[in-house]
Amino acid sequence: MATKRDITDLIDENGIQSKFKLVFEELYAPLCQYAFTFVKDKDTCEDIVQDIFTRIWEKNRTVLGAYGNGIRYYLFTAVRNNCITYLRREKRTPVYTLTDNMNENSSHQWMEIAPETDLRTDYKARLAELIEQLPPKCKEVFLLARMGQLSGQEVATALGISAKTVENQLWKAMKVLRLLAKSSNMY
Amino acid sequence: MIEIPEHLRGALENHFLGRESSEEKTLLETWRSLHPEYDEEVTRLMQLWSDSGDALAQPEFDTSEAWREMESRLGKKRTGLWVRLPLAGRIAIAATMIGALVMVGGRIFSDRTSGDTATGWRTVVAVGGNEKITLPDGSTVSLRNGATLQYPYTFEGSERKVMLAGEAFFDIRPEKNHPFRIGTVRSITEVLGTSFLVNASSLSDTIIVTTGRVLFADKSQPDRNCILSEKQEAILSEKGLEKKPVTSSNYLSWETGRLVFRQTPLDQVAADLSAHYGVFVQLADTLAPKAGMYPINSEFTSQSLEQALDEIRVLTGLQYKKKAATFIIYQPN
Repeated sequence: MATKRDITDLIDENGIQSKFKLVFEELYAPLCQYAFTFVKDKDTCEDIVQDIFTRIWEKNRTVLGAYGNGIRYYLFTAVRNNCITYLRREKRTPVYTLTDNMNENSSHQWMEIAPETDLRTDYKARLAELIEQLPPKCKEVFLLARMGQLSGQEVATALGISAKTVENQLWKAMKVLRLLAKSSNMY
Repeated sequence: MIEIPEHLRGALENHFLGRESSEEKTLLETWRSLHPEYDEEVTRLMQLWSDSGDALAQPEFDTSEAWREMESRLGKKRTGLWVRLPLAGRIAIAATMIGALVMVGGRIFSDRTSGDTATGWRTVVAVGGNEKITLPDGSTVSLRNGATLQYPYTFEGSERKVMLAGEAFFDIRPEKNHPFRIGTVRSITEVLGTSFLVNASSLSDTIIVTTGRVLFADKSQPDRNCILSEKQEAILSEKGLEKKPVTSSNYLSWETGRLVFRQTPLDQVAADLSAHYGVFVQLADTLAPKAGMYPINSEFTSQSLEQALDEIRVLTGLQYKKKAATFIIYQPN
């Protein structure tokens, strides 16, 4: 079990600084990669993530003392919100959002994996491609859970949907990916 | 393919994340032990979870480069403190008779001028522009926008003492047996009969002497001090007191409005632009070692930062980009 960090550990300035740096070093790249799933521009992704860290340092250092997974939840949610705000401001269509009015059962093109392709050679590339092609809601849930390493309940809170929906979408994604692995004879 | 029973999904999710409870662990292990295929399916799903993490870990981002950007964004200085400096300054003292410029970065008061005749001290804050002040002894002070000076209505006693936060240029009248002292949070500067520049930021105090001699001392450790003469500079920070020759000729640019570069290496140009415009201008890592290969000859008066950078681009063939709050000059491929 991970030990819980208490905010009183961070009272001194040095403690806050090292925690800040630690969190930055651990999560900067994953957060940028998560941002990249929305905004397909590396520089913009870095700006969005750095803005969030700057804001934490200047206005909201107490979040650094959050228990357990709190800081991950905070950061991944903030990245998601800021990416959506960015896309809206730029008047570009978000890659996906929960407001998309899509029929959950209609889209099965991602199941059509050409069997003649030698999938073993680039299995992980195919995996990435397939994740990209998941139905919007399913993809959103999976990316936040997987990249943010957030629990079902945390994903549900972040997206404003029920925990049950999160679980269904997550397992739907797992099932699709599992089929790919199987057809690739990976395991 | 084995379907994971719904009641085990939550436990398995937490297992992926490495934070399942002991009950969840027991639940999962019991189920796995029922059949080898169940056990294998859990192993495969774990592998899939891990592989999809790898598949999503792209494109690559340079965390250490980003951290350097964050440090400059947050104003981290060598002392190990992160403070966003209100574009600190310097103090320059220039005088034909005697001049001293002191600059101290620090807090900014909201009121422009206030005084308490009972205690006999007056506080002047430069708001919305630089401020010229004539002291009771006829010495003059140029206070940089944002800086604060406190001085008595009349100089009484054996010394003339003022307090400074921010950046200022002092032109001080010599008075024998009546030393002029400039105090900051950190240092005390005594004019020995010359002109100098002092810059006190919230992290360090810097003094630059343009002519004459000055005594510069740590307030809390007065035996830590040095005497500076013409074209010498000293920096007092947590690291101690460091004395060196003056590197920039533009320390008074905020007062004169002029930035002058004469065969100035590019890294010095970047430092002067940063101080003058109150932004961070940096050279790209690959360019920094070659800064000396780009001597700049130019003069800027009313130009904006972008106009200045555009001119440097034309002069050197280099490019610049804005990344977060930092302007980076780099070599195009």
